[in-house]
Amino acid sequence: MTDCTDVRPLLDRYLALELEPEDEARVRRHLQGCAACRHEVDLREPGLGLALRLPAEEPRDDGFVAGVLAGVHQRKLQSALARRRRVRLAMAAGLSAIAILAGAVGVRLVHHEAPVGVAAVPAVESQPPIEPAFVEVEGRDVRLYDLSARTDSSLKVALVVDPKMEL
Amino acid sequence: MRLLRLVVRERVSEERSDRELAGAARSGDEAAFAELVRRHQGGVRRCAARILSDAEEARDIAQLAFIRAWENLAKYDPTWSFSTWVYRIATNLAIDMLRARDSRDRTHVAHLRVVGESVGPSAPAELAEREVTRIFGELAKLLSPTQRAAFVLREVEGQSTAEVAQVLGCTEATVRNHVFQARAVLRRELSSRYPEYLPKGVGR
Repeated sequence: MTDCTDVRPLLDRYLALELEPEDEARVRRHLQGCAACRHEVDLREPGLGLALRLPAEEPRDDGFVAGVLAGVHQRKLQSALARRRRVRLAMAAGLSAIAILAGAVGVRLVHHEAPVGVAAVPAVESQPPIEPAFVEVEGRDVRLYDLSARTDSSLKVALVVDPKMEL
Repeated sequence: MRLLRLVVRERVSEERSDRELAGAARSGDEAAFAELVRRHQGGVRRCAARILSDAEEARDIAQLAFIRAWENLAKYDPTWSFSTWVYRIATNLAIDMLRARDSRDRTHVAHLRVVGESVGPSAPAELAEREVTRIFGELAKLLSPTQRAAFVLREVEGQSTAEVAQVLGCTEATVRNHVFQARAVLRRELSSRYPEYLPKGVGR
């Protein structure tokens, strides 16, 4: 047990924050139980004196640990859901990429095969007449015009037009 | 014999250090983490309450600090003490909360002295704990968030200057500076708002 006579000489350095941690802990322990030395600190640093009087213990809180663990479980669940969402997104992106690639390969195949067919038939005969076709898109009638001029390297061009629009 | 083994196992688990528990928690051991929370929750709650001057907010911040600790256990550096690490998380959260609070609160408090619960003039030694807490909470609101955190960690929680520097992520000289500034503000405000609580002999 530290005596007042041991502590008093240390108070100046204690207040100047110059004590070694062990000495400081000794002074603090003494101040907790000694009203006379605490009064001395009060005289020099009233704010510090106030701090020394604050209750050292928080009231018991039995639900605290359970609350933290509930929060941990919630975060775990959230991160699992986020991970699953990321996997699904990655799969969807992969499938989309495969579909686009397959489409591109298909187009390229058609593109390469077309000249063979065209070469067999005279270009003028193979050209179909431009006729409007009626198709249904999302419940509304639209006219689909095939405006392709089928040459050796032609691409089909389709225009979707509002049926009410006069051409 | 079996009972003895159980008791021994219990003792061993009681004696596991924070670092051992943190290592186990890192591997997903929730019981080990719960033990760490049990050990340090009082100090973290108290520290947050002193910084925020609000017990409810402090509880939320303390819980969030432990949850963040769990989430970031992979980043935990075992050369730090676990408590310093959690204090650091909690203190940063509390400082962020203080900064986010409406600045009007501070201005309002700066010109207000709550007298409703005052117990009247008495010597500091006779002040009731609740009254001390209330006065400290009121005056602490006049400090900047970092001054408040430094003062609470250093002078209320009794951490060393080096520990506080580690928690606040600054130098020891900066910590001393914050603490001295905080003391000066508290001295001035205590003299002007609560002169009756100052011990005789203090210049008013």
